[in-house]
Amino acid sequence: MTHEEIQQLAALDAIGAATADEAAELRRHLATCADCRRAADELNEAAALLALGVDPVAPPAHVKQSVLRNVGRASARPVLQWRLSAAAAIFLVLWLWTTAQMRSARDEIARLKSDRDKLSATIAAMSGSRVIQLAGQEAAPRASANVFLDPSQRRAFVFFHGLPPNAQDKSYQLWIIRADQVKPQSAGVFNVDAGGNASLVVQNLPVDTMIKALAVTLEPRGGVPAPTGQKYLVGS
Amino acid sequence: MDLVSARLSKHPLCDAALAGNTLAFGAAYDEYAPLLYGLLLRVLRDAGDAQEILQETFLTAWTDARKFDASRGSELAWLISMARSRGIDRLRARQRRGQREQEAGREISKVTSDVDDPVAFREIRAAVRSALQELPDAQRSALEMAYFDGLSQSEIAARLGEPLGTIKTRMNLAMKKLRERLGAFRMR
Repeated sequence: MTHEEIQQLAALDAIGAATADEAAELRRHLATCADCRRAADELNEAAALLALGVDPVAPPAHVKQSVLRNVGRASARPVLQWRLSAAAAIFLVLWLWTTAQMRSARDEIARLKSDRDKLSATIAAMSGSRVIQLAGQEAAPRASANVFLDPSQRRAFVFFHGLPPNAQDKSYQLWIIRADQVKPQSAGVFNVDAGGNASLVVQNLPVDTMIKALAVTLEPRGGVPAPTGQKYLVGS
Repeated sequence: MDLVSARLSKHPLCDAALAGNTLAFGAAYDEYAPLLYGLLLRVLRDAGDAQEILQETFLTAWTDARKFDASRGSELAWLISMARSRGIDRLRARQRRGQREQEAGREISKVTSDVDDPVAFREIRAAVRSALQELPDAQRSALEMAYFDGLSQSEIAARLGEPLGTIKTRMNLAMKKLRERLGAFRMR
């Protein structure tokens, strides 16, 4: 086919009147011929402008509203919205994390203050006091406790370390075994923190010489009148 | 560069779409929509169908703006070809469904055109109309049957009772004339 004949096909194609075979023939030629491609572009442009031969008519306003609503939804915004919600999610996570950190820091400070107060009371009381060390038993070989006796005030400060955390329905119970009594006397009930530590102040302590030994058992929550559970700490 | 070629070398709709700027897209819509809607009413003779295709055309322009190639033609022509071919497809689908035109004779009630057409478009419109008027009736009607009614060469030949070769020749002569008058609008 000559270029002239190809451009005749291009003219028919521009107004949608070429047959399928003619259109295929045209595409094959245009793929390799820049001159005919330019001619075809001009013919397409001219054919398109035929539409201006028709009177323009303003479409109803709802068409524009619908177009804009759809393009707004279809493109840039989802990306923006996605970014915003991702940013919001990251912010929320960071905020929650920071808040949790601050709460845990506050708890830590409160705990340290309370420890400090107990410690200074202990140090004040220690002058002329006797210390009994309790050793871990089979149930908790690594556990230990220091009992600082303050006979002048008939009290004792006890610090426990390395005990296994007690279950919700259990409590540790400290017992005093007196020289003058067979039955152990309860000196208090306590729970340990996650690190296995606890402290206890025992009031109305028997006279120093009457204390033969101390022991800690694990009992039902709230304690029992006489020891029933396994021994965790013993010392004398 | 005159007013028309200056306008035709711009592509505000695609620019707006690529920038994701709905406000600018809306402004470009206002320029093009009456022209495309007029065309679709002429092709489809049904306001509902015309509005649907109009909307589809603009949505496609938004998503396919990247495919527009300014070196091959104007944005105006790109939009028109898109609207026209979709309109013709809808027309054929309707005809296949057997609603064959009693509607063909039905004229859209003439909407008096108080459309605020951009000046450049008015100039092109004047050039198109004078070019069409200069064509012999037989050439013009063959052209219009193909372009607006989507008829094939053989359908036109059958409808006019003329040999196929004659129809091809008429359409070729008509397009040659239009190309001389309109095809190089942008390059002037």
